[in-house]
Amino acid sequence: MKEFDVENIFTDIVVGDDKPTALATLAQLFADKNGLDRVALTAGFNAREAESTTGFGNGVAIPHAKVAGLTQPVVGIVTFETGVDWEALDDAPVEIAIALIMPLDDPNKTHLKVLSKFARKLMDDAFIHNLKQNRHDAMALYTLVNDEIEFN
Amino acid sequence: MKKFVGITKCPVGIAHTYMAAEKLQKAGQARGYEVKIETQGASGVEDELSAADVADADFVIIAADVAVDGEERFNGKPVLYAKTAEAIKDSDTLIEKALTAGIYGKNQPKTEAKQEDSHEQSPIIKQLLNGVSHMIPFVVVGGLFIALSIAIGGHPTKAGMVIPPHTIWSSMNQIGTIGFTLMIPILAGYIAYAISGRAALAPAMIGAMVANNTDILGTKAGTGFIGAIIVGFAAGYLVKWFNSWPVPKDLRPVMPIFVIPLLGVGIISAVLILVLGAPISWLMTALQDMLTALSQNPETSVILGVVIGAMVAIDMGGPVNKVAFLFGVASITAGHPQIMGAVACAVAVPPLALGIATFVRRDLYTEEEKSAGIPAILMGLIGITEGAIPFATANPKQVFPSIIAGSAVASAVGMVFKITDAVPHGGPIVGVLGATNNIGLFFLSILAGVAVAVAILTTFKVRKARKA
Repeated sequence: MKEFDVENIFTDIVVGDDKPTALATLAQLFADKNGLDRVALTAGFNAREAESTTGFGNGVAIPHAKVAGLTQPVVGIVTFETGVDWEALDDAPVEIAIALIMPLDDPNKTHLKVLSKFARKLMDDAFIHNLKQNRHDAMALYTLVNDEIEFN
Repeated sequence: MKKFVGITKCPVGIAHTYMAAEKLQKAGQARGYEVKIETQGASGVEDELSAADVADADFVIIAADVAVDGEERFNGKPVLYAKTAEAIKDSDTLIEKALTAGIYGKNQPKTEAKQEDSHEQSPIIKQLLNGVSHMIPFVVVGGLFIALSIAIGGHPTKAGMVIPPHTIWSSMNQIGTIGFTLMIPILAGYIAYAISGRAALAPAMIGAMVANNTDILGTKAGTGFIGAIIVGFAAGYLVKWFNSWPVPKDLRPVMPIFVIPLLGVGIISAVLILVLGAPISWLMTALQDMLTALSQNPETSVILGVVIGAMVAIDMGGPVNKVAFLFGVASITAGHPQIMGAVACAVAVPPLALGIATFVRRDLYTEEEKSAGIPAILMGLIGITEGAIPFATANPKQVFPSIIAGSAVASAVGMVFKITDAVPHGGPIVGVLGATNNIGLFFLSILAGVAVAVAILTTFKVRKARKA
């Protein structure tokens, strides 16, 4: 599978009402699809949220975690059926989660460069608007992101 | 153009670091700022801020959830601290707040008084003070080593204070001389550094050495610390101009380590040699002719004293001082060392007066000046005028009139008392060692000058403190 693959895009998912349940659901989805340790991934997501919320506003969050057993980062998107209180910076409910799952020890700077570009792109209001417009269509989301960012 | 710089850093270093950087960039550009944000992320430091970037910036925003590296780069700049989340959520407000942020290195949060400070000090004064504060330790070490070695190991002779070679005092004297020699490039270098960063160090430091190298200039004296100040500013702004050149990206890394230093040193040195050598030689000859004319007539001896005293204080070791000193030395050789007597009175006044003044009204001086007070007094006692340089450089408008007047008075009074000094050296030490004809009157002359200088300086300082 590629670093960013359409198979890691899940749309209109029922993720639960609160952030911990939602994170556990996300972990389950990505663990099953990519053969990762679900418990470790959940713990990783939760640990990062404990530092500070990854809900940066506009209804989007970027939960991220480092886990063992990966050779390259996994970038995935999950759109929620109903908004989740993510304690976001603007207090708005989160409808889209962009998950960044990193290998424990990734010395490969090209991966990190791509992710940093992606992170910068998330500050583009038009881009976020387009993501939301296509929230029900995995292929459209895939194309949208791939057009902007050249993943490995 | 308005400009600000910043650093972003988050715990993991893959997302928020860059999101915050992007947001700051966008918000800044929307407000018409040139923006450069250094990201300290998992893949290392990107868009690293150079000293020139920092120098050009109006203020600094640090949006970080963990400690950032290299904060000390922002010394003297207004710095606003925030979390990455604050930058991502509302960079606009951060920029607004940063306009009134506290100055880094000045116990931050208590902003009110500091702001006035930063408004009051023009960038030129700040750059000058950056040079002075780096120079002070060199002056203190150099001055005290020389002073102690002369005081303990020196013998007055016709060739000056001679320290027997191969003694500990001789080594100490030479080490002190190294301190004094380094003082010049350090002063110039760190003035230039404050203007345009690392790339300006070589042109300024080498240039300042050129400006004080008599062989290269083809003169009898270098330009002293005044030359160093001029070279510092010239090199700083020259390099700042180089930095504004549009340079292809591939060439940029070699600019600060290769192209700019070479060009800078070349231009500064060429200007110094071509433009400076002749005027200095002319100035020195003219001054010498004036002194010769004044010394022909015994009735003008008081005027001669005033002129010699003023010359000693005006550039403290530069070409004007040198003419007065050599004129004094010539009087020893000629067998009537009265002019050397006047010089000996004058040289002690600037450091003694400035040192003593810090004790007269201690509240009017900065911590830095207060701690330079005692070394200055010691240097004054041994006749090392250079001890006054840090004070004079930091506060020229108040210090120069005071010490010039003080030295002029000391030297004129010395003339009236017909003080002689058989040793080409000055300050109370030559009196103690028996080189003067009347130690009591010699000390009295120095004291008169010191009293005048301290009185004038304190008046200036009090007046300025009232105004502020």
